Amino acid sequence: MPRRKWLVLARNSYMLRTSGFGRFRYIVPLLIGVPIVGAIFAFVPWITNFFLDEVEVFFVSTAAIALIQIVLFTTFILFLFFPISFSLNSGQEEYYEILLSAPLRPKDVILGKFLGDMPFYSVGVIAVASVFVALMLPLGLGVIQGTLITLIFMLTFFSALWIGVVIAAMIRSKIGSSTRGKDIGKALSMAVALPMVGLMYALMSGTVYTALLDVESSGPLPFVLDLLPSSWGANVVVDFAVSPGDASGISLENTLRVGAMAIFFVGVLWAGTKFADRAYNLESQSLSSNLARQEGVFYRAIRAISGGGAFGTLVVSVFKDYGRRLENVSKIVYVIGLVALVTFFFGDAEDAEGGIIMMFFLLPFLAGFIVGEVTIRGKENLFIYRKAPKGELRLVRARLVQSMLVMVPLTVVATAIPLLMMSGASTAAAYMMVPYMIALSAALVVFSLGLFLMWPVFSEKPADMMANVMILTFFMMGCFFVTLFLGLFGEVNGWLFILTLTSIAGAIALMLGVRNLRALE
Amino acid sequence: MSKAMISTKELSKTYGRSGKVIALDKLNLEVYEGETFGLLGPNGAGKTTTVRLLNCIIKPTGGSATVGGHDLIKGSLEIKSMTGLLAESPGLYEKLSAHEFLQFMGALYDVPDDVLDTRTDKLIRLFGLHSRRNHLLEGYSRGMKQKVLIAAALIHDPPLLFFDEPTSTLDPNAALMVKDLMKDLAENAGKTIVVCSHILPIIEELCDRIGIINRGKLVAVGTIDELLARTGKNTLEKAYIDITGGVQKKELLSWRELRGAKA
Repeated sequence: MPRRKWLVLARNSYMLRTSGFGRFRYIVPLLIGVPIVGAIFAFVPWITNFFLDEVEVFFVSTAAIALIQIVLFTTFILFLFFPISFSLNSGQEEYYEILLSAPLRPKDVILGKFLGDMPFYSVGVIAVASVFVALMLPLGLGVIQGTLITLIFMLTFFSALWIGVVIAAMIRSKIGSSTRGKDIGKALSMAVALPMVGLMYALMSGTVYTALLDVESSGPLPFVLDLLPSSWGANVVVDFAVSPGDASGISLENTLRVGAMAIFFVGVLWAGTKFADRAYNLESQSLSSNLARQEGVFYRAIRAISGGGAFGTLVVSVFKDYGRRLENVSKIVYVIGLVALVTFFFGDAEDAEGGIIMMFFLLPFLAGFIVGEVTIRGKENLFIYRKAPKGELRLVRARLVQSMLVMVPLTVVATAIPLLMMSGASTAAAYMMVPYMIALSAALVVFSLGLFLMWPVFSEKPADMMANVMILTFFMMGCFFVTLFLGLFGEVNGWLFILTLTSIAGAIALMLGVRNLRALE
Repeated sequence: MSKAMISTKELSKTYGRSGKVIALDKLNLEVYEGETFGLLGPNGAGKTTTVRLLNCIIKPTGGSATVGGHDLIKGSLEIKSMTGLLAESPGLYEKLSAHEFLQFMGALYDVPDDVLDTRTDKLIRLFGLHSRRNHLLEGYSRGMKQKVLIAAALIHDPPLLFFDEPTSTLDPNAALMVKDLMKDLAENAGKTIVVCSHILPIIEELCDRIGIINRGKLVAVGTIDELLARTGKNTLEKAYIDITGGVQKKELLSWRELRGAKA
């Protein structure tokens, strides 16, 4: 009897994810999930007991449904977009080449990957569901009700995840057949996150929550949310909270809601596999290739700024390789978009300084995303420089110049956004922050380059870069709190203190980074 | 006799905390100026490690060596300048065109601008890439990329060249052209060439002498005639298998001897 191919692929996908766990690989989801869920059930009811009255009042109010609708909707969207973003960014051509040569149908590939990842997503879903169940336990929630709430979360999020997986596969097969398309895919992987972040900020800032509470004057938003499957479970959760106990609360209406969710999940699963067989194409190679344009004014200017000659050629080459990758442009758009969104949703029109402080925490991301490119093409790429006389130093110098040339104009733009959007920034002092930010961003470029050479990232996945970016971010936060502690915050001395500290740390990191680069094998 | 271009004494490379993984074990080897030297050995024998060490890409953990009279540690800058390397798994800037990549490589080796432009153009024509010179490398086939990488190894016209599997991904015409190019470089341009390859006919035709590495040790070195005489075999292939130990014929289909295996 032929094996079910999707099952083989699901097992393979699971094995790939758990390869680092040795003989414990079969219980990895349990090893991760049990302590998390255990901790949730230990602490959340204990905390709830302190606020039992308030929790009871909350669940009988209209705010409860609104809040749970928002939580479910946000997570639904997250689970929908995550596989799209992840799939667009990954370029596993060899992996697909293997699949292409095997007797497989597209649906086997998609379903196999989905099921293989499911145990890990289940951990996340059950953890989120457990928070709600644990929160309602002191109210007297029954075992069946708790199980049904967990089931509601699982059905909601797995529906979203499966829709996301199918959409991602189709986008890949549409655009992945050309090198340009793959580039666009990688660029989109970051870009799709921006509307998500916008939505999250809208939720966090209370805009959506207020709209849901005031149904009369909030337009079609509550109606649209009600139509989405993520909202179907919200009413059930609140009904259970209002009528805790096994028998009560499990009304016909709620049974129908949960049933509808189960039908929806089975329906999208069935439709997805059918659709995948028609629309998803495993063939990802094509013979198309892109032309390098003639060097224009821009690259001639870069060459001139870099001093021309051999070094100018190096900087221009590095710049071309960077600029022709759309995902790099996308990362920059993402950070600048983030600045605009934060300013829009959280900015105080009278507080220009607040906007500048926000930049402190976004500049490390910008520096990390720009400089992180240095090692992501792998060791072999670094060996090109290693082979050349003084190659390591040439690499560092070329990368520094290239990164500065990208970082400085972007810093000006990113600093200008909060300044222009806030009326309180019309003072000369506020605008003096622009040159300061340029100096700080230059120091961060040095620091970031040092970090990425000390702890190289040999992968194109943005998530792999995050460790170094987080070091930069925490460093900036540290600097910020030290100035606050010393009473220098907002003072010229405070700003200079941060700049000096960042410059010193950057110089040390770069020195250590170059040493590591020379020793890298 | 010509002077030694490469000379190694007990050159070693180990990995791991206590040096448990021995990649190269006390290599004693001399390669002479103007000579084409073939380095053979099974997969994982230590050929690439040797090439990387002699190009100062990695540092030895024991022994010493000179390349072109320069010490491997103290004279690494001079060695890097005078060697050209086609690596086994080389890095490539895929978002650059062939022309741009060669310009970049030339800049790394300080080739003067006027020389670089002409040389880039000539190398691109030599390898039949002129019509695609402005296409990004990401769209090139593996063989075309290999041609660009060979051109990149030649861009600064070094006296010593290392070719690690130069023809493995090339079509027969291109492989023949590269073979003739290596021959020409050795015979008419006085270059010293070290070739690592599993394609024995190429080694037989090109190389003056051959070294065979197995499990990190140089187990044989000499001319083809010397190796044949030593093993008592009549072909290089048989001599090579004799020295490195091949698979017994009876073992070849042993994996099929299972219940239920179909013909």
